[in-house]
Amino acid sequence: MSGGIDDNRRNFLKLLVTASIVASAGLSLGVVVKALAPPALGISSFPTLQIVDSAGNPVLASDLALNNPAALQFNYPLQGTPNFLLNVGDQNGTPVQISPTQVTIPATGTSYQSYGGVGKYGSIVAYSAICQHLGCIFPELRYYPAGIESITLKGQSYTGVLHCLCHGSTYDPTKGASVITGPTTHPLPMVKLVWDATTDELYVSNMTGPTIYGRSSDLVGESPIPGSTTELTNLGNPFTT
Amino acid sequence: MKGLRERSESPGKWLMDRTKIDKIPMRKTPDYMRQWGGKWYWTGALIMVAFTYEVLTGIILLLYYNPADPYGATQYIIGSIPFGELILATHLYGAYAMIILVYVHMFRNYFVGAYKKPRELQWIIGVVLLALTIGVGYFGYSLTGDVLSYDAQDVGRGIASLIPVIGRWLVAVGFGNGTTVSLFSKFLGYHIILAGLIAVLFGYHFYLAEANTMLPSSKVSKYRAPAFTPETADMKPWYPSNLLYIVELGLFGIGFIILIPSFIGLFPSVPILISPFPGPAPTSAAAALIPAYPPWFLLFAYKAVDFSAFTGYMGPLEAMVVFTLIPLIYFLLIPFLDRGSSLHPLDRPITTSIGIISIVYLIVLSLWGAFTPGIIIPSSEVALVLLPPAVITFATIFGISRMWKKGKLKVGLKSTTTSFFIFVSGLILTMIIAGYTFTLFIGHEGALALGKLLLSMFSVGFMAIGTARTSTQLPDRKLNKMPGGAYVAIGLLTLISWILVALSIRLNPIGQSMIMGMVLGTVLIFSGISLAIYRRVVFGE
Repeated sequence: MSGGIDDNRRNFLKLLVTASIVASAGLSLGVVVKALAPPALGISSFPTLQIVDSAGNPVLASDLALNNPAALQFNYPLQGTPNFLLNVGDQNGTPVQISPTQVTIPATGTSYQSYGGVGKYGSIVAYSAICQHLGCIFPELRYYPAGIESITLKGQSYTGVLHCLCHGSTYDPTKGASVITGPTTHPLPMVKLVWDATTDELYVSNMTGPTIYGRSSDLVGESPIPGSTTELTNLGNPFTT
Repeated sequence: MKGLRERSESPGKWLMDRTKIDKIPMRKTPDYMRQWGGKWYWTGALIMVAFTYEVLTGIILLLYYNPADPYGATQYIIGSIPFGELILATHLYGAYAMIILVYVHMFRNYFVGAYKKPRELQWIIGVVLLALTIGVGYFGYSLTGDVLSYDAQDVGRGIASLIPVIGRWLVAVGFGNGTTVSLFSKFLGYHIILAGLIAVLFGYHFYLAEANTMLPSSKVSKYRAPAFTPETADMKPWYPSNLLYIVELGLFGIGFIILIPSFIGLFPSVPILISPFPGPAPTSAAAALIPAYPPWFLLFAYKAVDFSAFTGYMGPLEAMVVFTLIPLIYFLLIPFLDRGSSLHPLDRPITTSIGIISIVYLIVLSLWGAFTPGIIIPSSEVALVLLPPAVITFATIFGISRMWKKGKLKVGLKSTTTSFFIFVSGLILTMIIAGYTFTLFIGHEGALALGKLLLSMFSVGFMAIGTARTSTQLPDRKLNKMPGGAYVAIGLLTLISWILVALSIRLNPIGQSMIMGMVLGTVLIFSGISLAIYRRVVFGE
């Protein structure tokens, strides 16, 4: 059969040929492995978008009712990440001036600077509408404007807060959605609003705080918002049955 | 294996014992079937290689396909999936390769009489596999949702609706209720179903080939059916000889399937019939510039529909019946039409002539369809193009056959070789006459058509010559004559392969996937060459 070729030579040739086939097979496998994973969807940086209504007209800061129990939400920075747009007032109907403040994340002990409120009175703020505990959204996570009481498990009541009915997490919208009660261990991410004093129009341009719940990054995970606007939708008043 | 610590079993032995590859119940084959010229015994194996590649790339494409937005899905695969463009282009070319190989395999077996006793059923299943392969190709080609896909659907729907009695039902079954998602869901379904049928039928077809043994060379069969390859004690076992051969075929086959479209895809504007990329969207401006071509493997039928005889009382359905169904039935029934026991082409002049003229018609009609898409051809012109080759072929083959039977055909060498070369000359002469009449009507395309004609002539001639070579057994090659050269060659090829692999890691999977195709195809072919040299040096074949 192969008389004359000794085993050493034969094994060396076998090794070479195997190495060649391994190269082919490896490269082919590499191509297949890469092709099986579709590319991650997302954007590379926070866009600046204008808040508009369903007709496409810019939403004016002065149109936002104070202490509105109805939930107004817009998506930012991606299509499936909703945020509350709040115009915070006190029990007397006076707009609350919200200043930037240091917000602590109870889970890690680190803290960050929140944004200030915008609008004529500095009372308009926006926070992620996905609870940082286990991801509940409206109507479980809702804004209790001043005057409407939320009851927690321990029987205490709060007003003028963002409270999640799933497990009782409560956030303070006047202090950068910091944690009032658990079980959440992270404050809500805050959206940076920009108010144009001349036109009264509102824009969103950035985010701070923890990452949006369920994401490894705020910017990656689903389709970006097309165009330069994001629509404000009214999800209704959950306090009227 | 040397140099290992004491073990009860070496890893190699463990692997062999557990996987039992060496005990696969596949037949041994004589040495001449693996040596130079033995490739003709493996046309079926090459089809299996192409089919396997199609299934693998098809599965990846299936994971991204969207029947609700086929063109969007196609563009997404090309523009956003890493190496998606390469996988799609090679899937297309793998299909083209499979169809060409099926024709090669079929005609090779037709001319050598492999359909005769006891292989009739094997042959019939094979012809069914041909029809299924073209069907799979039609549905797959239509899945891209480009303008050609919509043209293909329109024609398919039109012809299906003409079928009497079941036409309406067939249109609903085959093409859905009119919505995009209905149509493409069905097409995707049929594409996969037909591929599954091919897999099942191929399994039985291959089992029959093993059970009946391969048709041996004429030295063994003496051109008489039934002919079997006897299994003698001196034959090398299936493992490792045949396995290595099949791996080599696989490396070359897949290597070329990947390399050729990657190379063609580098050119800026390739004619749509051979382009590895899908056409423009049906609603785009560019779509208007493309004639309503079918895939190239249906060009022959496409042209037949344009014959003026089929534009009046008889329509496209009749054209399809005459040029597609009737030939298919002929090939299906040939084992029962040609019942003699002789395997020699010149003993079966009618069969051989019809075979040659089928090839000629396939090529001529396809070229005609490519150059004059949609142009109606008056019957006089049809006769002028189609009749002379038929007359020449029949006259030549019958003439040669008569001479051969009377024993008047001895021009030195072996008569088998001589007869095949005369067979080849008859073929070439036929092609020249066909081409001449054909180019008359192409006018300004003269030089181009002639070039294409020469190409098809040489390829058919090559096929015939290749068939002739199988009949001779090759002399024993002395071993040990080139081990030195073998090391250098294999070593160099392996080194270059690894360097190419290392360099290719930097390629952009989305913009440069066709370049990766060139690298991958080259590396595969280098592996094939290395294996071929190894087999030559170590096994002498």
